[in-house]
Amino acid sequence: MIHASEGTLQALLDGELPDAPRAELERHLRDCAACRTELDALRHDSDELAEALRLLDRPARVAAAYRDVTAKHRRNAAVVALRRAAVFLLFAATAAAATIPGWPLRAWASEAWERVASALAPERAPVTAPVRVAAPEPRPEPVPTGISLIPTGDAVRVVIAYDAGRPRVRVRLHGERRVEVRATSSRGTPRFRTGPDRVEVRGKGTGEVWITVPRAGALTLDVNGQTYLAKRGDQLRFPGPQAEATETEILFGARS
Amino acid sequence: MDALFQRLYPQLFRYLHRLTGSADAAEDIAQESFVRLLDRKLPEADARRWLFTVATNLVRDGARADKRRQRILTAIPPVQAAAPLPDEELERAERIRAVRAVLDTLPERDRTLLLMREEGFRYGEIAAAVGVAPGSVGTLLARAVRRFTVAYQRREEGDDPRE
Repeated sequence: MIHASEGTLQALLDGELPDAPRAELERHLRDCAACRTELDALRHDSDELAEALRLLDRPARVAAAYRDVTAKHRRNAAVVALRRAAVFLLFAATAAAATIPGWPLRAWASEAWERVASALAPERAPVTAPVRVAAPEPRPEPVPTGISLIPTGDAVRVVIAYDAGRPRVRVRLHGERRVEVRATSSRGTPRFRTGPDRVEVRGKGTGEVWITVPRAGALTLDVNGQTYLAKRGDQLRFPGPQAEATETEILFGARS
Repeated sequence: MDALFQRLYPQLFRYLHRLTGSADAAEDIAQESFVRLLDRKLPEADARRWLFTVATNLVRDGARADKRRQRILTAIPPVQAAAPLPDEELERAERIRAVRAVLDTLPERDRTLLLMREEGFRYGEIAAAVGVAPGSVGTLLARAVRRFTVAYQRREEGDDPRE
C-alpha cells in the first residue's frame, strides 16, 4: 500500500487539494490506519500551534495607526508635488535660457535638467546630449621635394614611377635652360635619381609631379612604364586624356 | 480606504507582531505598508496579498539591518521587573516567552509560512510571498509545524538544553 505524503495530508487539512485528489485520498484514509494517525498528528500539531500563537497577540491601535498613515501619505504627496514643481520651474528656466544666445548659465541649466529628470524617472531611457562628431582634421598637404638639372642636349627624359597608380603630372614650359622636377608622395618622400639629361622620380602611393622644361628642346615622359611624348618644339602636345591644357602647361593624370 | 484599513490593519498588525516579536516594529511596518498601498492604488481584491508581501519583505530587510547592528552594539542586560507578578500572570508570561523563543529559532522561511497560513492565505499566495514552488508548500508547512511543536514541547517539559 502506498501511503500519503505528509505534504498531501497537510494540504488536505488546509483545504488545498483539488476535488479529484481529495476524493482519492479520503478513500485511502478509510482503509489506512497509518495515514489516519499521521493526519491526526498533523491536526493536533496545527491546533497546538494556533493556540500558542494566540498567546502572543495584543490588540492593534487602529484609530491611531490610521491617523499616522494618512498624515504620512499627505506629507509624501506634498514632497512629490514640490519636486514636480521644482522640475517644472527648472524646465521653464532651461527653455527660456535656450532662447538667449550666449547666456552663461545655459549649459548649466540644461545639465541640471538632465540630472533631475533622470533622478525622478529612473525607468526612462537616459537622455544624452547629442554627440558632436569632431570634423576630421585635414591632412597636411605633403610638401613637394625636387631637383633641377641643366640638360646637356636638346632632349630630356623624365621617368616617373608610383606604385599605387598614375600620379597627377603637370608639365610647364619656361624660358630657362634648367629642367626642374618636383614631386609629392602620399607615403613618404619621393626619391630622385639623375643621369645625363634624365631624371627619375619614384614615389610610394600616389602623388603629384611638377615638371618645368625649357621651351627649346624635347621632353619625353615615362609614367609608370608608359611612354608619352610631351613636347616637340615649343608646343606642349600630349596624346592622352588631359585634365587641363594650355600652350605652356599640361596637366594629366589618373585623378583631376 | 477607511473600511479597507479597518478590516486589514488588525490582521496585518497581528501577523507582524507574531513575526517580529515587537509591537513597535509591527506598527511601524504595518503603517509603512499601508502608506505604500495608498501610493499604488491597487484594487481591493489584490490589496491584502500585496500588503502582506510588502510587509514580509520589510521585515526581512529590517532583520538583515539588525544583524549588522548587533555586531557592533554591546549587549544590554535585561531590565528586571519592578514588582513580582501573580503566579497566573507569571505562568502566562513564561509561556509567551517560550512561544517567542521557539518561533525565533525557526528559519525565517518557516516562520513566514506558518504565520501566513494562520492568516488564511492560500498555498499559491504563500508560495509567491516566500519564493517557493506552490506544490512544495504543503510539505514545508507540515515540517515547520512539526519543528515548532517538538521544540515547544521540549521547552514546556524543561528538556531543552538551551533553557
